[in-house]
Amino acid sequence: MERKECVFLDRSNHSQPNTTSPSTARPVLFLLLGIGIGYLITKVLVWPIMDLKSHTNRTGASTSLDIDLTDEVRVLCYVYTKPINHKTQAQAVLETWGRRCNKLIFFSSRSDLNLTGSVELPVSPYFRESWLKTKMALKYLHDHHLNDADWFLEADDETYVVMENLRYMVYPYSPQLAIYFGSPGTVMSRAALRRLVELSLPNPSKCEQKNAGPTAEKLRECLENVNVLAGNTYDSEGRRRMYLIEPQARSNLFLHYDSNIWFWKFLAYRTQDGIFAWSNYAVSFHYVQHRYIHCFEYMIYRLRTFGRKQIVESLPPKYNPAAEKDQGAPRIGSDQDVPADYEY
Amino acid sequence: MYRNILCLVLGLIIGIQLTDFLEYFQLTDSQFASTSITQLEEGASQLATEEELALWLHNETRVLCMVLTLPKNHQSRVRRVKGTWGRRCNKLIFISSQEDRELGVIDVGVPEDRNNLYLKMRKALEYVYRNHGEDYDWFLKADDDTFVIMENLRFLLYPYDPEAALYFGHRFRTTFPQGYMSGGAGYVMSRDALRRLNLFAFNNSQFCPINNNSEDRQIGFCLQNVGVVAGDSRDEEGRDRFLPLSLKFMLPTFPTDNWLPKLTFYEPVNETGSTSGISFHYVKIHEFEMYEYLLYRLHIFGTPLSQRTLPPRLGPDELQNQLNQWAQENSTNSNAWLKQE
Repeated sequence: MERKECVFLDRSNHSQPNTTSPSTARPVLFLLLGIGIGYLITKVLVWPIMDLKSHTNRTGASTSLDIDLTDEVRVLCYVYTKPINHKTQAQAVLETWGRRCNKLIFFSSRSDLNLTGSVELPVSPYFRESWLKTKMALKYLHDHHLNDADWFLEADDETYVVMENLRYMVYPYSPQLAIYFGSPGTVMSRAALRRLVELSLPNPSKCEQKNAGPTAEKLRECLENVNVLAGNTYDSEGRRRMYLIEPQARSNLFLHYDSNIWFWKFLAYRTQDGIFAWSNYAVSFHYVQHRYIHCFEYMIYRLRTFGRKQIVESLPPKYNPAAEKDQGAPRIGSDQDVPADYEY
Repeated sequence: MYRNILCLVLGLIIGIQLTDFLEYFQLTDSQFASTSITQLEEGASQLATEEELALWLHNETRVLCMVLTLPKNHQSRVRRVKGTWGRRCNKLIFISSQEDRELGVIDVGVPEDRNNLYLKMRKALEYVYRNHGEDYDWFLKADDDTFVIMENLRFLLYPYDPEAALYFGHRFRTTFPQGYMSGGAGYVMSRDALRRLNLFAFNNSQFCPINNNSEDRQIGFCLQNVGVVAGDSRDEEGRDRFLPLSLKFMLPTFPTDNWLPKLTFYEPVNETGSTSGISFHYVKIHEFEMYEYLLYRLHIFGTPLSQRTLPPRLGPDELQNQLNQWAQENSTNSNAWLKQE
């Protein structure tokens, strides 16, 4: 009996340390090693990726709020320029807002391989705009690009346009309706362009034939004489959306800003009380020097103020010309040979 | 054998989950505080929006703005600053040589002269420390031709403790190793930096001598000598947030035909324009309202912005490591030095 008991005790004492001590030490070390590796993996891989995502500028149509009218409201932008401005002003337009046009054309006195979309017109190289150049440009657009766009935006190379806001402004109107907005810096529908080129330009009684003189008044007269509607360029609060000018931006070394001089008063009058009367959905700014064009591009599209207020936007209802006609009073003395809503 | 592998995998899972949990806790810590504010104001709200975070951040990271000006600019530039970006400071003080209570301009008793800018700045810092030194977290110096986007400034400053001796701006290199921050682009120093400056630098003619040298360089010298670290304010793409020149000269590429590429501390990034830019210099009088309009009023139709969150606050160890790293940093600019330096 005693011998058996001694043998049993000896076996248990001998076997326990051999089997238990290796298994308790190594797994704990591996556990800690695993925790460390997991920590490093998370730190190095996961969180930096998440950080980068939070700085993206645009969600890329992943939310219902994202409204992209680029294909629904096609805009052809034609920009008046001159050879001396190709490398500065025109290039700035090409690199910034011009990219958001469905089609971009530069009208100049010579074409330029470095200026994509430049078209040569036989006009003077010293004037960016002239009535002759405007008429030639309009005929060119009618002959070559009438079906390429719904709307045709006139601009010069000192203009900055927020294309999304332009599409938003003209969205309610059909391109089959003869209507234009703003002049200068005119944006007209395809129907307006057809009517202008086919009915107005060739007719001396409706459109000025002489090539000299300022463009804006002449173009407006030509459009109105064939019953092209003048659209409203003010927003719902009566603030201006187009032809926004900061008068002091025109000052330079030779022309200092002075609020008492008539020239600055004239510019201030045209801006209607300055920036505070500008719309929150501004469309076009004028007299923007090429360096400022890049500033506008940066501050509008790239620079983000943390905590900028978000606005829930929606598209306005489509304009119904029949309802408008019923509600509105008939215009006295209007030319009735071409109805305003004539569809081609 | 199998037990070891099992423990390794288990440790891996625990490590990942633990780190994830800690990071999440840091984020929700700030969001929780913001949400509690939101619940008081708007009722139940699950997640704080970026706008709500910014509102909360306005009082969480309190910035006092010192704007250096002179009497002839009181009715033009001071009014513009006060009506635009100055409104978003927690406290706005104009430093001049003539007092104007209506505009918040104080007289520090230093006559206007180009050589007196440094002395004027010292007086301003002494005034601010005596009167507001413990009431705010950060102290921003700007000129009256600087435009500052205060929301983006707070976004930059939030991760850092104002009790760390630290300051930010556009970093220039010079004869002393840390360099200095451009005065025109504006620089912002922590509460502890301001304290060290006033307690240990201004009364020490060796650490902080009085002379006619340029204000920003001398202040940088004083800050270095009392252990204030120059922080890196660039964004994650390495683009400058504080711009020492006019915006139209900093876009679309870094200028190469003037003194700036020779003087800047970090290697210039060719394509400029940070998405979270903070300041511009040489702002013309009419540009204040133009920038205010473009940044805060103008909307691009149909372009909603993705919601961002705040970067995580740095813990004490992380902050110390970051400060050590910045303190050891050398200029990465490979351009030739300015000859006068």
